[in-house]
Amino acid sequence: MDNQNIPRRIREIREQHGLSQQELADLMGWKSHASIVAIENGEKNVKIQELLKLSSILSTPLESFFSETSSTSERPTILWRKKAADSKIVLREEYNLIEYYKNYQLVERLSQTKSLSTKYLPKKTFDIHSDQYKWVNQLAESIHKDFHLGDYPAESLIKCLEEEYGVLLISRPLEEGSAACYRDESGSVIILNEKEVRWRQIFSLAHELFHLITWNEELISKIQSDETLFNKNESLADAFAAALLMPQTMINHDVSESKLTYSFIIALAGKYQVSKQAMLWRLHHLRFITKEEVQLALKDPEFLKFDHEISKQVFTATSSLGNRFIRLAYLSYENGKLSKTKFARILKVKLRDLEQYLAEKGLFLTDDKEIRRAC
Amino acid sequence: MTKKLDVLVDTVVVINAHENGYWEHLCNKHCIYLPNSVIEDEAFYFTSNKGKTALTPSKWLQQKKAFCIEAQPSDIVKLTEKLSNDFLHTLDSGELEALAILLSENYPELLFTTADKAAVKALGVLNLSYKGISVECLLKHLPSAKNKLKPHFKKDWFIKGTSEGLLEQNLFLKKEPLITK
Repeated sequence: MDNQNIPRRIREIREQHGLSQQELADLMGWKSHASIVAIENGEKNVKIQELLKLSSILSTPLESFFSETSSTSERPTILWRKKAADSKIVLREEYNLIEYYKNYQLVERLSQTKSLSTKYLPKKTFDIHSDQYKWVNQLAESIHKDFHLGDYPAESLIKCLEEEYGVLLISRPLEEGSAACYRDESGSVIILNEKEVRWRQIFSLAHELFHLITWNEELISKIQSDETLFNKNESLADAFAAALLMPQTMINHDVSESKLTYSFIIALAGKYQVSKQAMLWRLHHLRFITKEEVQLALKDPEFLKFDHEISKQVFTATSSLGNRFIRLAYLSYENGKLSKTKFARILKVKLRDLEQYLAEKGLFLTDDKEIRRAC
Repeated sequence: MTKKLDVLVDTVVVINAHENGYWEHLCNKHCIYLPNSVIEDEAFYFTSNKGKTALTPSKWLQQKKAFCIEAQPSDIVKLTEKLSNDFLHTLDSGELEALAILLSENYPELLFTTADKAAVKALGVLNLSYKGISVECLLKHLPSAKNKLKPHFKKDWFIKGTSEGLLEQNLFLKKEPLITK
């Protein structure tokens, strides 16, 4: 394809994203940056499939590549809990996340029906410089109530975030202890580590939820340039996650008349789907045990050898792309709002494997046969 | 003798034609074209009782069984000017290139065949229904294959799809600028 504006526009959009030619080539899955150089110099014609991929990766409308004028398209800010040491991996994960997110928003719009509509995730502001632990506990309590998380918050949280608030949940193989999130004016996304055990992922989910609720560009730029503030924000997010997943009133009720034995604490951790360490610290923060007791238990091989069943489970609560995302894409395809090849591409599945992939999720291509309503 | 039709074919039809054994018939009876992005995309496969078999579009070009057409930038620009950005992202590169080719005035005789509802609807959205043809119509001389076709490959379904596209023009076409006095 040959168009006078394309080479210049690709260069401009790449620069707006702060990407080098090599970085863009990596995102395109090309071995060398030579193709990008050639395209930007007008020495190589860009093909329509390449332009579509660029449009998708850079979240830029296709027409922007043909236009005379420059439209704004910037690299989004992703909040990482722990970034991979290799900046190439971080870049790839960030652009993957945004590509999934944009596709998710597309299928949300395409399959828009009343029954599938979602609520807007609340937004709260706070001053990170002052002591906020009390406020964080109150926030967790109000979220627990407003989100109707009930007696088993971990069980309800995934479903609630996906179905009620439309948060896109993705799991990817990340660095140990890592997770990330992103929010913009129209929605939000959380990326979890698929290598981690279920209880760890649920804790990360609650932790990232705190970041989404308190999402503020100014705060993010502050914490990203100040390690102390970053650590404080992380610690607040942990406190929020603990308070959300182990609500004070319920723990009080469970613990008030029970002996605090190792097996009891482990069973309690299993009930709330958190680690036994997290449960110990929560009991300390709720003043049931001292800090010294927590530290002693955590050094005791007798305590450490216990492992509740849940920690052995792999994360199956949501699939790698999020159940809602897959379901909306499926509905869009079945309703003729998404082509089959595009459907497969959005799910990152080869066309030939699509039916098998869907069958594994309990979905089948049906030619959208309609069932008549009862009169 | 029936006149050979110039037919632009999409991926889903190519796969189905191989799975159901009517590819050779299509190539013999009509002049078959493939969008460049379909040819250059990853290898595609069809499934038979022998398992998955890779398709080799480049070989068909060499044997002159099929021909390749590439959309020109002006055609793509025309398409992006007509369709909303959301709609553009509901289709894959092969389908978009096919629509861009149909919009151009370079191939007035060319017909597009697809069994993809989104692509069929796109013909209606773009007022290009008359440039679409169902697989069923292409197989009128091969009743054995025609009778085994799934609903998506049939004429009635095709007409229904383009009609739905016509009705959804207001959703997917960019608004025409208002003419000021």
